[in-house]
Amino acid sequence: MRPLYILLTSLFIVAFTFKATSQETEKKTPDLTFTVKKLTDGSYELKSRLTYMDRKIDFPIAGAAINYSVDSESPLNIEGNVTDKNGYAYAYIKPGVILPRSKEGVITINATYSGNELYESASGEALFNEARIKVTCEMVDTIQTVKVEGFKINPDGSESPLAEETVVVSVQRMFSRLPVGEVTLDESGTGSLEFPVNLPGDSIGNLHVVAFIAEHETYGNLESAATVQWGIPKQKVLVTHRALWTQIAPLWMIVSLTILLVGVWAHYAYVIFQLRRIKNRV
Amino acid sequence: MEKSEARKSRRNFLRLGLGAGAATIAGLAGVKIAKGGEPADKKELTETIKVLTPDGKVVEVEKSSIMPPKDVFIDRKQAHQGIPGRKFVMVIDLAKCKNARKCVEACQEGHKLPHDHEWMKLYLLKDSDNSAPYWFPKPCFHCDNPLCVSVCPVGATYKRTDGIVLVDTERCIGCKFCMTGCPYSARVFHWKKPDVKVDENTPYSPEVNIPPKEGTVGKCIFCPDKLRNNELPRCATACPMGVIYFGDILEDTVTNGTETVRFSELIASKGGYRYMEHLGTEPSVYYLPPTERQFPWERGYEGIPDSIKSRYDNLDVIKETFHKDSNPK
Amino acid sequence: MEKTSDVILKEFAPQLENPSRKWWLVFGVMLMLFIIGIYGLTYQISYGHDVTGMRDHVVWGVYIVNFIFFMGLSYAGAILSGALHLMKTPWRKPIMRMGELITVISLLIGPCFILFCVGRFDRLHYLILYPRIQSPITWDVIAISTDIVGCLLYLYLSFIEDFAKLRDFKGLNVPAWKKKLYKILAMNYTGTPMQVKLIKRSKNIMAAMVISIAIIVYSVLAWIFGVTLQPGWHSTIFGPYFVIAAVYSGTGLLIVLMWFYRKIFKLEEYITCQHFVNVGIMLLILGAFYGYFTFSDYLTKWYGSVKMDKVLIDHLFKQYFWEFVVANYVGVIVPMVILAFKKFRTVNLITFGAVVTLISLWFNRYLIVVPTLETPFLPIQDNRLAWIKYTPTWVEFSLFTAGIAVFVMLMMIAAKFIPIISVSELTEKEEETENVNCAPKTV
Repeated sequence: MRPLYILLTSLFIVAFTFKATSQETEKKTPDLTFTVKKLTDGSYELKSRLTYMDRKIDFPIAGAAINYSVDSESPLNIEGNVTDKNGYAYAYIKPGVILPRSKEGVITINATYSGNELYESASGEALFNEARIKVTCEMVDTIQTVKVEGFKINPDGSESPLAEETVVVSVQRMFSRLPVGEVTLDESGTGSLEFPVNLPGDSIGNLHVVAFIAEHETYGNLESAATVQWGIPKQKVLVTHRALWTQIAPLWMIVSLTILLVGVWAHYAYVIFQLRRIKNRV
Repeated sequence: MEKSEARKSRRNFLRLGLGAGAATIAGLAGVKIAKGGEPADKKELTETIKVLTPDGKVVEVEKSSIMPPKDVFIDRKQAHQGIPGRKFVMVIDLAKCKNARKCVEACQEGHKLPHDHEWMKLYLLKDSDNSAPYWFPKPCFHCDNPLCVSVCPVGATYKRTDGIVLVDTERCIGCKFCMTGCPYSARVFHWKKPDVKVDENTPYSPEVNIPPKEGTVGKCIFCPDKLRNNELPRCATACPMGVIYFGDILEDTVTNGTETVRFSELIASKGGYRYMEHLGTEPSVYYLPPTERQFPWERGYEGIPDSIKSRYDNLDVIKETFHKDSNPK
Repeated sequence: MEKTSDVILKEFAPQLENPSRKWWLVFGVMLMLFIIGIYGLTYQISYGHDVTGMRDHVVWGVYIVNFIFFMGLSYAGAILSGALHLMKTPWRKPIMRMGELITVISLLIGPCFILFCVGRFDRLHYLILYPRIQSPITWDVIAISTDIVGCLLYLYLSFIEDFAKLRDFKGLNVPAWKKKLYKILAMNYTGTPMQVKLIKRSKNIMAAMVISIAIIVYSVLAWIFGVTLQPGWHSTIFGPYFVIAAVYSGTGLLIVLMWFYRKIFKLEEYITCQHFVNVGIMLLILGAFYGYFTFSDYLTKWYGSVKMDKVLIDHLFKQYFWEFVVANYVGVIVPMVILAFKKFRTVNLITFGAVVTLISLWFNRYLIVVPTLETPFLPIQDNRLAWIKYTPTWVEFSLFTAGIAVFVMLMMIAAKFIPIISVSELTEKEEETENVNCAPKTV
């Protein structure tokens, strides 16, 4: 019965695979999501994600090469990024690299995936004006204050205040950023925020404060981070060594069990000893 | 903070002139791989690629010389150690759940679970005659006083410092004692050879529990493989309604992927509670009561396929609401 | 009984000599049942536990029921040969050996059922390699193995004198290997005063040990259920309740076996109606205790009911009404009524009462295991019938009958090997003075 079952199953699998192969001729259209973010040190993070939608679920495509170019007229190629198992590919542009821009100061970066025999090509584009923000943490009259400054970077390289923009101040957590407030920059491009006192930090109370502007229509993604010891030191993880659920049993249990076992087996041993005496006709 | 460090190390990697972002080809669990079992660009593996060097120059190197940063593989012994300094907590907002079952699908897909072996379950509960029905997603509660772990005779299931209760299916003898020990029916059994296609050479780690093994017990494990990369568990990511919040309770922060909040404030403001607190199992999963719902509960029944619908057909509340006209069974 | 051991042995000799055709016939049938069970087991091993009726909620079924049931039967020996031996009850002599055999044989069969229930046969040695002593299953492994060793030792002690008698008895027409075996097993025992004294002392010790270990083993079994939080299981009464129920069923089995052996070997002279009544009175007392425990367990659950207890009791009275009546009413009342009235106290009726006891006790265990698992805290919401209600499959029943068949076969083999009534006990003169003494006066 079992061989028959196996045979039928394998036939089914073969038929299924055959069907699947015949469908492969159609190329699939992947989605390329592309964002550019300016980091604290002035470098740019280019982040791409290549996915393919199947039955309403996004599947990441791994091992696909993503190429970047800055402005189509004067290409600066930043090649060779391969997506990871989650479909992400990161590339970085070092601080200080002057990116070509249009007369209006708009920088354009393109991300492309050239496709292969299974997938169509895909591309993404990011346009932004250059700007930067800076976050500082200081005590102002015993109040923990986060100060944020914003600057526009003009095409000639000079800076002017970034006014009337809203910056989110957050704390970096394991999975995401925990927002602690928003700062609206004034005409001089600065703003500040009273920082909460009861946030748990790392083991010595350090907090990684990140101020950021996300998906701004002109300036794109900007962020700035600072580490400050304003948190409550993180509680230590309690390690239980002996409990019902640990690997090692509680002492009382070991003691009781030993007493029981020794008690019983000692009697057995005694009886076996008696049997020996019977055999030897003592 | 880990995130920024991870980013830094990625950048360092780049500066060494060896890598190109975080490219991983090995260990492709849960990744859409081109049909035929090969990575999308396998052909390119033998080719050369261009890499950005520290001084901004582009050099061409052979692709095979690049060591992609592999996922850290956690073996059976290492899996006993929790992620250091963490204690995980989940908050499930019952007000938002509309039984979309995306959490179940993501979990099944991510852990390669057979069709009739679900780690995440969705109940339609109605606590008493006059109370209102609600959808109740139920993962493993990862109790701090886990009875399932206490009763295991061989130490196949264990609790780690980060709060996660894992099952080592290479140790499990299948006595099913843990299944009777768990008051929440969180554990399920592989009654037959799992009918899933998994590469048999996949190295086994209790943190992913792939491949599933016949005659052993399985349950929700909070996706530690994801957590190690600072990613949310699959169910939390998959939920379209943002029902499932997850985080490190020691950081007092939970997130559902779009919204990040302080755990203590969320519990305080919404009246969070743990299911069947009186049992004394100290669950790590909290629920927010289904107040100010975003959907009528009926939506969750209407939207699901018939095969799933029939699971609830014996419930009085379903009979009263949906099968009033049809013949009483 | 004035007969000498040689006279009795001569009388019992045909029991031990070459098996009759009838013997082979019964044995053959039992062997068939056993083989069917083995077939069921291989079927289960190759197709997985899917072939049983067990599913994700009812993870324990008939296998565990049988495990508890057979372990319970093993109690007959502990109580009779242990307690009656220590108390020097005079009428115990002809039935003691049966009790001891029941103990050992059902103790060997019972644990097999828990093995059938284990998903990974190939990893059973992990129980010894990686034990966690917090787990009641580990307690069980330790306790049962200790119990088996103790019971075998006790059984052997009670055999030695008979082995010596069989070795010395010339009129026995058995193959040479059997003779030789008797000689080896008799271990130079000739009945010197010293040997008699040693064996007496050892027997007393082991009788006490066997009683206490049996209580521990059965309580541990109860705690497998008691330590969980499941409605209906999480009960402090479970330990003593299981012990009483076990003795009850074991005593029932003893009566049934007395009936069979009396009939087959024509032992009416030795096992009289009085024996049936005496054991029957024990059955009556145990039945009363069993009824009392059952009642108090369910009463408290029903009266001050936590929600889940109420759900469970509703389930019992709706889905399992008849089983509940058989297990907890018929199983208590019928044996008690039979034994309470003098005119009902016939050999056959008492045996009938014992059979009722056995059947109802099996259902009692079924009702302890299955309905609780069918009413978990979170209600079962499933569209697969097998997932909602447990129905045992042929595989489980084939192994059940195989278990009974093995029991019968081993009983048959044992009776071919050694007289089913202890010859040495029968001929032994009771000494009154020895053993239990007060502390010597110090003044």
